[in-house]
Amino acid sequence: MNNNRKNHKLYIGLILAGLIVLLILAGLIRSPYPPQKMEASLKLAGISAAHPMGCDQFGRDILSRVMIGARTTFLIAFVTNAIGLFFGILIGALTGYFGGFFDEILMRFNDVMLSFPSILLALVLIALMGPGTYQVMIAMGIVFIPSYARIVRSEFIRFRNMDYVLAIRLMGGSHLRIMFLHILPNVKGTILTSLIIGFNNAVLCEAAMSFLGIGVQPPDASLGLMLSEAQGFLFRAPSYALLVGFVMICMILSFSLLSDSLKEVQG
Amino acid sequence: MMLQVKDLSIEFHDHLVPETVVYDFDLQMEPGEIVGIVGESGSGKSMSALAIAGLLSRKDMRKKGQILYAGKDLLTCSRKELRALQGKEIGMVFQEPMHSLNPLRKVGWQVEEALLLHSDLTKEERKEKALQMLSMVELKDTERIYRSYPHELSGGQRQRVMLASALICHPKLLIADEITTSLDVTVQAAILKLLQRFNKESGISILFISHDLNVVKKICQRILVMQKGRVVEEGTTEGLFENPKTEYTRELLDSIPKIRKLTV
Ligand SMILES: Nc1ncnc2c1ncn2[C@@H]1O[C@H](COP(=O)(O)OP(=O)(O)O)[C@@H](O)[C@H]1O
Ligand SMILES: [Mg+2]
Repeated sequence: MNNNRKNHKLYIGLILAGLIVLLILAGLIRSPYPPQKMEASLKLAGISAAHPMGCDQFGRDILSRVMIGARTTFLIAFVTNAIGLFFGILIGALTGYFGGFFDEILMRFNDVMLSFPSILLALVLIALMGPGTYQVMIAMGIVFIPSYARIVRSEFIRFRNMDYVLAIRLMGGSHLRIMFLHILPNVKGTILTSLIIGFNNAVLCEAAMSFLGIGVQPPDASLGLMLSEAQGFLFRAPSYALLVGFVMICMILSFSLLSDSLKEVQG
Repeated sequence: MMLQVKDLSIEFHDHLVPETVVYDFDLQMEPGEIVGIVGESGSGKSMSALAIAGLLSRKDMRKKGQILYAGKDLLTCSRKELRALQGKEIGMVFQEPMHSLNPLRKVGWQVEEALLLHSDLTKEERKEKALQMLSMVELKDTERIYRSYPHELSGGQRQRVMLASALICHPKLLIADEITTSLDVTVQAAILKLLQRFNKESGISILFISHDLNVVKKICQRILVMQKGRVVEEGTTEGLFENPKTEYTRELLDSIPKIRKLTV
């Protein structure tokens, strides 16, 4: 029975992720309408066969915009986590493995960064760089580094005195060899699960920043930006906000479910 | 004299109050000798062994005294010299067969690793040597073991694999820290025999560490008894058993179950 429930989570997660991927891929190949094309007569038009998700305040097809919006959001989440993970692994591995003074300094700095809400920190960075899609990626990437660094560091501390690490040191294996050929593969699982959580955080963080107007800038689309636009017409066209919100929920839910079932498989 | 440790003290400096865990440790070993260290757990055996292998961090720990290996002081020599010694001259095997192999790498890869680091053999030559080494430690079905992951092997098999990987570069000194402790008695006996065979055939010196005097007496010619970080007694195995000088050694002797008569 336990096994069954696990499978449900896995299947639902896979189906939702599949839908999102399908949406993004379809948008890459061809969206039903050009996502920027405005049609004055269709302002806030409701759901119809021609426009399955309706149209927004400028008469643009929402489905087409959701397709490229989901892609932008996905891309931002991906790049953000890639930046965070790359530097997080680098910093976490070095500090965790070697310890010492360097470790103390970097970790205190890390604590300082972690003690601010990540949105606030990203806001400061955006204030320095100006708003825009790439700026959001960089700002969020930087904000994500400390938490990855901390996770990787604690794992490296756990493994650095394992007998097999000592045995390889005794064989004359270099520190780099031990860190990246022996310890890192053992940390892979932990990194993978935190990556999924990080992915969800990035989606939400992007939404929040676009909502505040400092993220993706119109006329580009991202889920967060569309949600903030839809907010103005919550009563006149509730389906706009609901549908965009639904896509975002699917995205987050799929990753949460996948990460859950992954964790259960790992035990 | 191959190994001479003089007045070794080990102090931890990673807490506010420094903590000394080994005091004035002395040890001499001749080539081909098997020397044992016994003592209750926490008495500083592993710390001394790690220091001799040059594996204690130079940062967090202060070490006094000398560890002379073939005349070179491991505590003061350059890292490069230490590396060279570690790779070729000194091998070490640890207690936990679960933790002494990387769970994500195949056994063959791990046995070969020392060759990869210290020789310029080709891939095929390395494999051949690894298989040969696996059969030297009396593993059967070496091809299969070569391709297995550590979790697919039993504790005894893993310990043999560890021996194979520690011995593949023909070190002159093997440090065996509690290597039989987690094994059951029959496997224990087989591993001890294996160590003795290596000692006879290749003349390797062995520093054999155990909390169990009963095991140590089976293969060691000389024994050091440690208590609370100090060597409290040292002597030949017969001497120690016939005429223990300290109360502590007597207690250790008494803790051996007397099912059989002592046959030393
Ligand atoms: N990081 C550390 N800081 C302080 N004391 C330590 C540390 N690691 C080990 N010790 C102490 O060193 C002593 C010797 O340990 P060890 O050599 O492992 O004993 P044995 O191998 O004889 O069981 C123990 O009392 C242990 O508590
Ligand atoms: Mg020990």
